[in-house]
Amino acid sequence: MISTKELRFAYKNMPFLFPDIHCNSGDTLLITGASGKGKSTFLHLLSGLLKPHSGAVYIDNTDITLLNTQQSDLFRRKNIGIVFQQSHYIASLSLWDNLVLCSQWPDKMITAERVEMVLSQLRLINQASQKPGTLSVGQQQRLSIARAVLNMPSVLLADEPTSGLDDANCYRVAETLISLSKDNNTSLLMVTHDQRLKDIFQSRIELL
Amino acid sequence: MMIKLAWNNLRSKSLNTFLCWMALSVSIGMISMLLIVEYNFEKNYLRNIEGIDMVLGAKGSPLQLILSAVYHIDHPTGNISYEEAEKWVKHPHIEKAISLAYGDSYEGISIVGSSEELLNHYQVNIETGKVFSENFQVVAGAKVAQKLKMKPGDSFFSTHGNDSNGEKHTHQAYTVTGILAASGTVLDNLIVSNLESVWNIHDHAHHEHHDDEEEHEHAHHSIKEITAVLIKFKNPMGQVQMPRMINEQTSMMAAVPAIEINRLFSLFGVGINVLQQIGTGVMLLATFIVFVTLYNSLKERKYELALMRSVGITREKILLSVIAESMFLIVAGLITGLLTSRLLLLSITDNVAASYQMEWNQLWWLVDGEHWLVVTVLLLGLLAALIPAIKVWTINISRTLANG
Repeated sequence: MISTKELRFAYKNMPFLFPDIHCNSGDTLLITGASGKGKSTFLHLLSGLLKPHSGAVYIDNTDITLLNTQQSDLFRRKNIGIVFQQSHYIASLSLWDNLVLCSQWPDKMITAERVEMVLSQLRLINQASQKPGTLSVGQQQRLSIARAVLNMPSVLLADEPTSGLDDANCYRVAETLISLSKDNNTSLLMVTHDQRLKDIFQSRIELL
Repeated sequence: MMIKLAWNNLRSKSLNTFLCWMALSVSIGMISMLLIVEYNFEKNYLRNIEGIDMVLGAKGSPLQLILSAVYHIDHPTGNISYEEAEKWVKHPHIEKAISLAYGDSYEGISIVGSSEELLNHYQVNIETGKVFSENFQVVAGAKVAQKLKMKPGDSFFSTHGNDSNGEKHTHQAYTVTGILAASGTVLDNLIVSNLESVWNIHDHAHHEHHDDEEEHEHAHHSIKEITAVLIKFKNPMGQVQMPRMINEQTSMMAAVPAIEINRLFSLFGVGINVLQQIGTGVMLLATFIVFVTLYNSLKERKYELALMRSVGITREKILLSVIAESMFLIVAGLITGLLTSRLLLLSITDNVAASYQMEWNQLWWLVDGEHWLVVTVLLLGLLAALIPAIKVWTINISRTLANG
C-alpha cells in the first residue's frame, strides 16, 4: 500500500503541489499529465529518490520522507521496484548478474530459482548470460521490469515505460507490469503521458 | 558481487586497465629493484668489512686498495714488502693482521695466498675436506666449487694474472684439499692457499723469466712481497693514529674501509637517488593515470551508479566497488612490479657475483625500503579512488536518471 499527503516540491522557481494518492496492495494507478507537470518528479518522490519540501509518503505505514539516506536506500531495496523510461543497466555484467547484484542483502536473499523464474516470465532466460548491451530495446525494457519485480516489492513504480513503443509492445509491457503486480500483490503506479493506457488501469489521476 | 563488478569494469576497459597496470608495474619494479640493489650493496659490503679496521697496501687509490684487498673486485694498487709490513703489524695497537698475496687465478677465479686466519676471520667452515696445510694446497669457496665442479683431491694449474687465457704455471699444480661452506662473504668466490704457495710459484716463474721486463702486480718470493694486510685494532687509538703514521712515515698506504666504503656509498647513492626519483615520478604519473581512468570510467557509468542507488545498493557498497577497482590495479601493479624486479635481479646474479662479489640476500622478502613502498603505493591507490568516490557519494540519483 502506498499513499501520500500534501506532497510539495520545487525546482528553483517551479513549485509543485501533488495530489494525495492512495493505492492498495494489488491495485493499479495510472498518473498522467502533460510534459513539465512533474510526473517523473512525483515518481522520484514516491520512491525516496527525492526528498519533498513538505508532506509525507507512506509505504506500508512507513513515512519514507523521514528516513535518512542509508535507511532510504535499504527501504527502497526491500519495498520498492522502479522501472525507468530509459533502460538502465550495468553494462559490464550479464543479465543474470544484473539481477543478482540487486538481490543480495542479509535479511531477504533472493534465490537463484527466483531469478530464473523472473527471467523466464519475462522471456529473457535464454539471454541470461549475455551482456545487456547485446539485447534489443524491448528486451532491455523487460530486463528493467525483471529487476524491479525481482524482490516482490510492496510498490512497483514505472516511469513512462511504454514511451517510444508501438501499440503491440506498449500493451504487452503494460499487461506484463499489471500481471506481475497482481501475482505479487504489489501496488502498481505508472506515470505516463501515453493516452493508450488510460483504460487498462483501475484508477487514474491527472497532474495539472 | 561488488568485487565482481569492480573486476568486470576493469575487464571491460581492457586497454586502459593494461596501460595503468603496465605503468604501475614498471615504476614499482624500478623502485623495488633500486631498493634491493641498495640494500644488498650495503649489506654485502658492510658484511665484508666487519672486523677490518684498516688495510695496508701499496700507495695508490685508497678506495682501489679496499676494493681489491677486501672485495676482490679491482686490481691491487701494487705490492709491499712483507718485512716492512711485518714491522708494523707487530705494533701494540694491532690485535690481528692477515696478510694477502695474489696475482694468479684459475678459470678467472682469484687465488689468494693467506693463512687459515683468513677463513677464521670470515667465520667460514670447511664443508668437505680439510684446510690447506702444505704449499700448493688450496681450499675453494662454495660458489667456485659449484661453478668449476671442484672437489677435494682435484688439481689444477694456475694462470698468471686474472685472465683465464693468461700464461699457465705448468711447473706446479695446486691441489684442492677442501671446499668452504657458503657464507655470503667474498670467500665464496675465491680460492685460498698459504702465502708460501704464491711466493714459490712465482719464484720459479721469476727464475724462468728473469729477463722479462713485464711488470707484475703479484707477490714475489725473492723479496717476499705481499699485496695487502687486513688489520684489526685492539683499541680506537690505533684507528686514530696508525693510518696517519703509516701514510706519513712509510712507502706503504693505510686505508680505512669504513671511510672508503662510506665514500663509495655516497657516490653510489647519488645515482640510486636519481633513479629512485625518476621511479617515484613514474609512479606518481601511474597513480594519476589510475585516477583519470577511474574518474572517466565513473563519469561514463554515472547512470549505472544512479541505478544501483535507485535499487537500494548503499553508497558504502558502491564506494567499496570503486575502491576495489583502484585496489585491483594497484595490487596487480605491486605484485608484478615486485616480482619483475626480483626476476630481473635474479637473471643478472652471475654477472653481479662475478663483477662485484655480491649476492642477493632476502630476494624473496621485502627489503627495508620496500615496506614503505608498498604502504605508499596502497595509499596513493586510495587517493586515486578518493575523488571518484566523492562523486559516487554525492551523486544526485533523481537528476542523473531523469537526464538518462
